[in-house]
Parts: sequence; C-alpha cells; structure tokens
Amino acid sequence: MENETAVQVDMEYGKNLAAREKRCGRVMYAVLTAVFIAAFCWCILTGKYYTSPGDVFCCLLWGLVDKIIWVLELPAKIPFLNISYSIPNPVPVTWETKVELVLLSIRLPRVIGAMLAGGGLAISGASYQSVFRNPLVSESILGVSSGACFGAMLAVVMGLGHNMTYMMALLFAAVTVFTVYLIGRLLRGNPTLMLVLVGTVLSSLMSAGYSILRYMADPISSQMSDFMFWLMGSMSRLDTKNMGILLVTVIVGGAMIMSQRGKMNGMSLGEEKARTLGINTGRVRLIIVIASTVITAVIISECGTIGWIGLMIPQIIRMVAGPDNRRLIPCAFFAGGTFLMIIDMIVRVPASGEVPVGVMSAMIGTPIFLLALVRQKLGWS
Amino acid sequence: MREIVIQDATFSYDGKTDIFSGLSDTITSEEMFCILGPNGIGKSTLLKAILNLHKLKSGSISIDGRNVEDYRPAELAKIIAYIPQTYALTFPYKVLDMVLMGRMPYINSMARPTPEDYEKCGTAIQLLGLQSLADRPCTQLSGGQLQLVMLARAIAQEAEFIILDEPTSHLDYGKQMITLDIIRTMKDRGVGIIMTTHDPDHAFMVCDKAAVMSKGNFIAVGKPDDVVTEENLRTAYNVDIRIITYEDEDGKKQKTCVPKNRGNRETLFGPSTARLT
Repeated sequence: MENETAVQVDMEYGKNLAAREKRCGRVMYAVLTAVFIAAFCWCILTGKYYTSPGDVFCCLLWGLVDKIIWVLELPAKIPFLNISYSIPNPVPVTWETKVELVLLSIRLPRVIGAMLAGGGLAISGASYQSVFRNPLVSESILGVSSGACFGAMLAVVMGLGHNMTYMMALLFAAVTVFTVYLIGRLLRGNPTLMLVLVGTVLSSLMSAGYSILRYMADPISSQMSDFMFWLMGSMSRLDTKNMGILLVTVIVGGAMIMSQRGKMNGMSLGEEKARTLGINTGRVRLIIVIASTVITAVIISECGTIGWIGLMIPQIIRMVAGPDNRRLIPCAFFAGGTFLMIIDMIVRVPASGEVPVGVMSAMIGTPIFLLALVRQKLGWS
Repeated sequence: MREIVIQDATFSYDGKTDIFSGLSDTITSEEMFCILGPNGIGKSTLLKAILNLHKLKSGSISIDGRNVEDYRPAELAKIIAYIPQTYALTFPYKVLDMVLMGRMPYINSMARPTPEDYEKCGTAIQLLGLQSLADRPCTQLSGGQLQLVMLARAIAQEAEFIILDEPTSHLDYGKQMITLDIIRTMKDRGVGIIMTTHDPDHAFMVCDKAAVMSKGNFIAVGKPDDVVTEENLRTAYNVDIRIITYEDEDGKKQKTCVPKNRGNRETLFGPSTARLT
C-alpha cells in the first residue's frame, strides 16, 4: 500500500456484492421450494393403500376449502349474534370415504408433522451449534431429550394416562433445561462452556433415571413398545390435533430463532468478540435456549426422540451452503423437514411393522453425510 | 470529537489483588494512543474495561459523560471497535461475511443487510486491498491477511475509536510496518486509535500519545518523546535501554531504542540471566 496515493474506492463494487448475494439467495430459495414441493407430493401420494393422484388432489383441496369455510362460518357460531348461515363446499366429492380417512386423518398429519419435526430439530441443532461454538453439539446438549424421556417413562410406569404422559414429558424437559441454565449462570467462567458441561452432566443423570425405570418396568405389558417410541421415535401417534400443536410451536419457536440468525454469526466468534460487535450475548443465548427447548420438547412429546437430525443436517448444509446462519437456518429447516418426510414415508410403506424413524434416519443419513464430507468444498480450520 | 474519560479506575479479578488502581486519563478520538508495558501488567485488562467486558472495582470509565456500563452493547459497538489479539475461528466464514459482521450494531433483528451495508463493506475491503480474498474462507488465510480482514471489519463498523490489542505481535517484520501504516491511515481518516504494544519503537514511529504502564498505573502519559525515556523503560521492562536519535537521508529525525550490553558473548551467561522470571 502506498502512502502517497489514496486508494481508489469503487462504489459499484459494494453494489455488485449486494446484487450477487441477493441473486444467490433467490436461487437458493427457489431450489429449496421446488425440492420441498416435489418431496411433499411424493410423500403424500405414497403409502400402504393406493390412492390415485386425482383423488388425493381433490381431497386435499376439499379439506383446505373446508377449513376456510370453518373460519368464515365462525360468526354464525356466536350465540348472541343470532346470525345463521352455512356455506356449502364447492369442491365435488369424487372419492371413497376410505381415501378421505387415510389421507386427511392419517397421512396428512404424519407428512406435515414429519416436516415440522425434521425442520424444528434441524434449526434447533443448528442454532445450538452456533451459540455454543461447537459443531458437535445437538439440540439435546442441555438435557431436553433425556429429561422428556425420563418424565414420560415415569408417567408410563406410574400408569398415568396418555395426556398425563405428554404433560410429564414436557414438564421434565423444561425443568431439566431450566436447572441446567440456572446452574450454568451461577457458575463463574465462560458461560458457553459452563452450559455445555452442566447440560452434559444432567443429561447423563436423566438417562440413568430412564434406565432405572426401564429396569423396574413390566416387560410384558405395552410399556415395552412405549420404550421403543420414546427412545427411537415414530410419527404414528400424530393426528390432526397434535399436528396443530406442533405447527404452532414450530412457527413460534422458528420465528424466535430466525430473528436471531444474524446475531448467531457473531456469537459463534466467541463471547468477547460478540459483545464488542454489539450483541447482547446473554439475551441471545436465552432466546435460543427457550425457543430450541420448546420446539424440541414438544417434538419429543409427540414423536419420541429422533436423534440424528439435529446434529447432522446442519453439518451437511454447512458444507454445502456455508456457515452464514442467515442462509443456514432456512436451508436446515427445509432440509431437515424434507429428510424426515421421506424417511417417514419409507418407514410407513412396508406392510410388515414400522422400523422406528430414529433408526432409519441414522441408517440412511450416515451415507449421505459421508458423501457430503468427501465432496465438501469449504474446509474446516 | 469524542473523549473516553477514565477516572480513578481500579480493577481486580478476585477482589483482593488489584490489577490496576487509581488510573486516570482522557483519550480523544483525534489521537493515536499507545500503551506500553510488560506482560501481565494489565494492558489488555484495561482495554477490556474500556469495552465494558470487565466491570471495574471502583472508579469509572465514561464516554460523553455516560458510564460505559450504562451503554447497551449495540450503542457501545457504534462508538468503539475491538480487534483482539487472537482469533479462534470455529466455522469457515468467508472474508465478506466476516466484514459484514462489523455492520451488526446497525442491523435490526429480523432485517437483512441492506445495499448500504454492502457498500460500506465493499469500501472497507477495497481500502485494504482484499478484493481478491473476498470469497475465501477466513480459516484459509495467513495471520497477516486475517489481521487485515479484522481491520476491514473495524472500518465497516464505522466506530469512532478502534482498540487494538497488540496488533503486530504475531506478524513478520515487514507486515508489522505495513500494519502500522494502515492503522495510522485509519487515524488520519478520523478514528481514534488505542493500541497496546511490546515494542517501544512503535510509539516513536506512529503514535501521538504514549503511556507506560507499570505496577498498576501509568507511570508516564504524554507525548512519546517525553514518555518513552530510558528511565521509564527500565522501570517497566527491567532492561537497560539506550534511546538513539538518528537522521536518515531525507533529513528526518527518528528515534529508536537499543538494549544495552547485548551482542556481547561474555554477558550472555553472566549475572543478567539471574533476572529471568
């Protein structure tokens, strides 16, 4: 650099950079949307019972219009307004009731539920990896999975009903993470390190508790199948109501995580470096922990523990799309959702019993991950 | 023009031993300020206290009459940028991504970087000649190149002060001179510079103001000619130094520090080794 002549600054350079990034973003989202729609159509058309594409399309349309009409008819349901009207559904019914049952009550909740669960786990894992500056961390690092499993197993062994099991899973998941967060905050030292250490330790404690309960439990009754569900995951318990809860949770939690994705880039540089870039590190950590815990706890309560997605999907996407969280989080959501949709389809098609979703994820995901590792373009440090 | 006012600042890690105590000074955004002192004396700690990364035990550091502890992180980041001594890069961010992070105090939560943000980053990248590296992952850069990326980020941050913690320690001799020139250019563009260094010559080369830190306080603050004296350096570094003024071909006078009694084989294994700690 010469001291005498001033460096010529070209304002077009910055504009070109902005335009290029915008273009890349558009292309990426277009590809993702296309892949997602294709995967959704494939999954919704495939299943144990044959359904023709025409039937599926009309039935889904009818279902959608039905929901819209339900919203439009709400004023008629208010008693003191004394309005009475009803809107007929314009879509003609051309399919058998069996198709409607299979499609709207079983297949649709499972497919959409799988998308939400896969996407939710992926963004939880990705955000933890940035906030804790460690690519080996998953969404269960703070004990949410083991806490939920322990709570659910406790309810099962105590013989409580299905609703109570659900509540206990959520309760113990929340309590575990809350305890980890509290102890982590009280300890002096690097907040990131403390959280990870305390989380690992309490996670082990909860897993030990789970194992004791399994030892104590009655092997003959249905408790065994419950173990499989909680440890290895399944989409078979999803119905329309559960899917609705999952939808709301993932949207709210996802919005919280998306709002912090720019700041997560700075967080991944280190506590001090992030603070001097203007990031309120304590607040970002809290938001991410709350969002991630809520998403993961609800997913585990509905679908059991699905272990591979939160760790590996962000890794694969990082190798392909780069570590910038602004791209990584949406890509991870789409990738995780598409992945779990397809895995669930593979699992539910064979007529003989269902392989747990968590097992199939690991079996199919591992070769994909190794392939991505071999072909990665950006290097690790 | 802004001022950082340090008043009677005292800091301690464990509440018992003070790292520095009763330190007072005023730093303006129109000068390049260099802090000299031995390892572990508290230079980095003082810088971090100014950045509100450490809380003072007593005393205050204020900007525009407001204590730095009362500033929100984003507000303070618009006033002071920080270039640390070491970087641990976990993820392979591109150079452009890293420079864009300098705009973080200005970007709202849900918002994306605007074209203006990209323009400012583009300007910073061009000022430091990093165009060819803009898409390279930072993990593949050398120490000197990474230092330039961090400087570009500090420029993109548009702060009024830049604090650098030993910016030249890990650079080769040539890169040290280039980096000092670049930092001086940033000062000429109107940014206040606060840096720590181990080399007293840097104070003579580029700084407007210097301070020598020893035993928990500044033993001297002021113009480099007045502060960097043989006595102060002996107190701080425990080494005998002679300061030599020489004239180069253009008639410009330059000062440099030369340690005494070095290059003499007999003294290498003599009494001076007893002072090694």
